[in-house]
Amino acid sequence: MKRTILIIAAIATLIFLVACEQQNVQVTQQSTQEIPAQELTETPATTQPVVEDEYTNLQTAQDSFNALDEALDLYE
Amino acid sequence: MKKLLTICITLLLLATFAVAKGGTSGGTITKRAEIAPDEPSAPDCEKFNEARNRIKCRLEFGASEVSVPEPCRAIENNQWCIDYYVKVLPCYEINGVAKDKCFKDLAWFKKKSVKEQAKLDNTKPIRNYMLFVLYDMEEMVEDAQTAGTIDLDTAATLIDDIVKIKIQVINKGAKTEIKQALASLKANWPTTIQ
Repeated sequence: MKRTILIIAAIATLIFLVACEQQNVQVTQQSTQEIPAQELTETPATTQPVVEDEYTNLQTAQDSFNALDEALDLYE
Repeated sequence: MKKLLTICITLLLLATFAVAKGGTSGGTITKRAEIAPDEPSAPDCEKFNEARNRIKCRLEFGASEVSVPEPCRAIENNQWCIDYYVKVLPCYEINGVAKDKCFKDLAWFKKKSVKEQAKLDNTKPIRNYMLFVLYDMEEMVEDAQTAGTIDLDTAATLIDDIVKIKIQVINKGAKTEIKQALASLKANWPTTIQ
């Protein structure tokens, strides 16, 4: 008797898990399908443009020449 | 008291033997002249009229005395220039990004890159930075000459050319002229100095 109850409980759990999984897949598919393409393109950008403010790696003579060229272009 | 006296004497001795970089264009001593008793004494490099000859002399014999850096000789009230030469010395002991940061901190940069700094102030900090980078290139030439990669005359000419550019920068020379001088330096730069 006890054994039969356990088997039924196990089968019920299995059915429940499979049902949940199917539901999840449906929700995922639905949410993917329902996003209009227009909305994706029209969403305004919220991130700021990346400002490249980094130090220069001065290792070689070429690095130094590059740094000098840049500085010379921008200095007054 | 005795202990303090010992520490002071040790520090004094260390300071006496301290060897700093950037000596061939004047300023702090790079290579102290070491003369054996039976050798004739090293010439006084300061006695040469032309900067190139003074530079060549320092490369060959080492600087025996602290002198005014060559580019600083071209300007009046040059104490700030001499001070900069001393302050920047520790930067030449490091490399890469750390060296760049060291230069920019001393040059009064408020930003990390030249591009961003120029938006705030594109005058003195940029000029100072250029001087430090040029000074760094002198170091490369000195090191190459010491290692035997380039000969004495080539090294003296290159350092003299760098000094001339530095003088142009200090004197706020015309951008086109500095560009021309820099292009010439680039053209004459030996491929052996990387």
